[in-house]
Amino acid sequence: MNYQEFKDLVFNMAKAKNLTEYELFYQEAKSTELGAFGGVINAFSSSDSAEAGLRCVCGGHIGYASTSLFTEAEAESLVERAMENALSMEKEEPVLFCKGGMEYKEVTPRVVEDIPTAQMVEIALKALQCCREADPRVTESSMTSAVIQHSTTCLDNSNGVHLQNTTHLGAVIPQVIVTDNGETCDAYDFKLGNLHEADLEKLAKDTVQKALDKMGAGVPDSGKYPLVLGSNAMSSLLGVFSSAFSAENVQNGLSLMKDKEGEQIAAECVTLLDDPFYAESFRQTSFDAEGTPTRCKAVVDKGVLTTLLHNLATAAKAGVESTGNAYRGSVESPITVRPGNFYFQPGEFSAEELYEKAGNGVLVTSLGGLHAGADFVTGDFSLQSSGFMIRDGKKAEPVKSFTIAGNFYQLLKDITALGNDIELGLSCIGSPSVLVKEITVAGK
Amino acid sequence: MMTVNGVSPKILESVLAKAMSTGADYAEVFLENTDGKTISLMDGKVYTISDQVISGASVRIYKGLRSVFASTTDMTEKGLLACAEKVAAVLGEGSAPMHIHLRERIFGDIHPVKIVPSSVANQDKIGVLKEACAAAKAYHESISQVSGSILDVDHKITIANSEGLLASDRQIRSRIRVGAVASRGGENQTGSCAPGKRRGFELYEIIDPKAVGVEAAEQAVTMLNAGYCPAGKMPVAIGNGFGGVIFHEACGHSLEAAAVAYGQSEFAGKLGQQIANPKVTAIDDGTIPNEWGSINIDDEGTPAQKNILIENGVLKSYMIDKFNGRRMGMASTGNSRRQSYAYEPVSRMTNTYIAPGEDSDEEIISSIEYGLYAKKMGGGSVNPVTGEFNFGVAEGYIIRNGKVCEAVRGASLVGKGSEVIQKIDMVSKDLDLSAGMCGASSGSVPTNVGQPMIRVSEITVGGRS
Repeated sequence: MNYQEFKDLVFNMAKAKNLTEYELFYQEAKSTELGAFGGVINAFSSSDSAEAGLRCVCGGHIGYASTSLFTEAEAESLVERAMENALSMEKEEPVLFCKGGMEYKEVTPRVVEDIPTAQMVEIALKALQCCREADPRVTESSMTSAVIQHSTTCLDNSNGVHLQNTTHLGAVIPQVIVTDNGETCDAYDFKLGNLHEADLEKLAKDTVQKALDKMGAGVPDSGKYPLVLGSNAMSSLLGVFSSAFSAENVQNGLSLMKDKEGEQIAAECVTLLDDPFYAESFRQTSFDAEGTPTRCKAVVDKGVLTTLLHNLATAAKAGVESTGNAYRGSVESPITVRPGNFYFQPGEFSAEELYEKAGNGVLVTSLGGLHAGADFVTGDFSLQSSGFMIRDGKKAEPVKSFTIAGNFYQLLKDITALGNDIELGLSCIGSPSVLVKEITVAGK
Repeated sequence: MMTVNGVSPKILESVLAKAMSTGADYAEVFLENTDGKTISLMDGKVYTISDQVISGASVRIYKGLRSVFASTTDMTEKGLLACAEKVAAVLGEGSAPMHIHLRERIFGDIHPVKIVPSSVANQDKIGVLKEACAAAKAYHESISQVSGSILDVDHKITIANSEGLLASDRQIRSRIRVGAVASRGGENQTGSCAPGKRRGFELYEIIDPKAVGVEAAEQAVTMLNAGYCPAGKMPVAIGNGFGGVIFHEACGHSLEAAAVAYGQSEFAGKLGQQIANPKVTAIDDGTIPNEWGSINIDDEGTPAQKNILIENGVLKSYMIDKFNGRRMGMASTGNSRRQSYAYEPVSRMTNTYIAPGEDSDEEIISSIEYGLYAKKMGGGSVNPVTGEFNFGVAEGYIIRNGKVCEAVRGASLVGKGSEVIQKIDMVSKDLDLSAGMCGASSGSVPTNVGQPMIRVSEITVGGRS
């Protein structure tokens, strides 16, 4: 049974049970992924998934239920489960579904073309070969993978709203391991877009270089240093703390951004944008998980917090309009709040200029264990780091096995300059490199 | 004969035959139907209820060291055959005639469940959760927010393979979580507690919901009164229970076949060698009755086992799934796991712990002149290639002159697996297990970590004072 047929069944069932407000949210994904190892394709996987989630108003509350079983019996069970759950809800929230007749901006998604499996095989093998040829220290244990994925989201509700969006993801991903003198280092990288357009040689070379750069790393002395956070590292930090800008977390006392709208929360050089239409992102959408039209906005403008991110319920509670940031992690998940494409606006400085400004400090290119060592509620972080020393204004020897620790909200105020580099990764969260006045390093 | 969604053995036989038709030497079908419910509470009120049915299937074939995998939500005969055709086509053309005769295996159920969660009304689950959250809120005036959730999963699986195996299992799990925030003067600190077992609703006859709330609140309040942890290298005593995450990260992941088979582990090729301090014996045991990480059979149909990974510091065994076992020339250890039908299974941990030793908690604390007592750990992660790991300390104290002194916040521990397990030089007697979710390539699976209190003679503590 296809989505259209299942939707009609569910909506008819809902009407038959005298429901007047209901919404079906549907996601399907088709993906093909293969892996090259030891000169051959050792893994191939293909998946088709589809799932639908119903929300309905019953007894003055919204109830949820979801399924991946598209049968007539399940359609009835879905409606009954959602109704039963609605009756157990106690959260005080306006029971709002998106109105019909809204205007939506056109998106021009970055389409990724499907290519024959044989061509995908060729690309993954070629990428692996390029890695092996880039340097004799690259080992047999290195691997590469190639992925193509298409995801479609549909939203239909009792107000006559019918929306559909498709996103595409293509990536070539080398995972390189290098050994020399008994030391092992690794690195991975990826290139998004059409697989057949990827410059495999450059990608392989860059990834291998990234791994080689880590060789011979020492442990830095503990102390306080000026810090350059590389674009990757700063993006992953923002990834954790993006939750603090959610009005839902603020309203629930889980964010220190409470009552901070209009206040200077970051250094004046810092502007933080949420752009659901960001051209370089693989995920662009003109509607959010409640069907509200999305829009681009500065969440932090020259250091001032201008708005929190809202869905319909948090906006109604705060007496403002939804910012189009309703989000559902997956079909079974409740509606929460999340940015679309979230990034610090790049500054004017090259990496070299940032090192020069840092003088003697540390450059952190990679952070680990973010789910454990960083807490968005408190802002505290203490994270496993690796990178390079900065000596006399220049990038110097590699360092690893240390932590940097601080508080994210203080760090925002301590940013003194931003780089002109930016890359939005798979998380759709990005940042240029940033220079931070001072950070505590725990090393030896 | 019980199979998921009533798919007949006859259909499974024809799906396997189709999958093998282009020269594969092994084929497997996995069927799943899972009911899951999570109810969350915020500010004492029911905040969200998610109520999910997952239903889907996957077909996998091997040819030598190659694997081909496809998954679908279409569990009709047509859908399953299409899935088999898709994997077969990747290996090439041909239609070798295959006859597969499935024989049902019964491995029994050593994890009895008394109350199936779907038979319990929302209101009863909500009652338990409210009791836990109310206890957290009442613990101290500085508790500004309490959130909580109660979840249950009823996971039904059927596995059939070209060796004739047909086996099913039903895995029921329940878990409650309370998160508390303590606030004062624009500052927040958090605490949490989240026990879980492979049990039904009778779990709450065994664990007291109030105690769960109090433990979360106590931690938040303690941390609110704590200063920042000093940074540097020092001896660390790590408490029992969730403290076992150190072994899980520092060593466990690097002993999984998914890393070892590809030479992507610092412990590859080290069987029989002394890799840890002689005080360390570590075990992965999927057969502990009703534990969070326990299974009757793994997701390839292999019965769960008790595997001694490290005995007195000597590496005895890896954790192995069938496919990676081929590359290693070793049999499966019953560790193949996956989140759902949509993930290709690989070797994963079940209940993994450091076995009790001869020391006592008092001896460990009093042996440290200046160091950290990591009473409760947060989560962590590891790079198996290099063994570099890190994890957060959720509740820590400074040890001075052999005595536990003031609480400290914001600490993390970083190091290298192969080095840190050499430095575990004291192991206490009081083993405890603690529930967690472990994420890796085959998704998020329930695992237990565990240990008695241990001493690490020296490790880098990340702090900021």
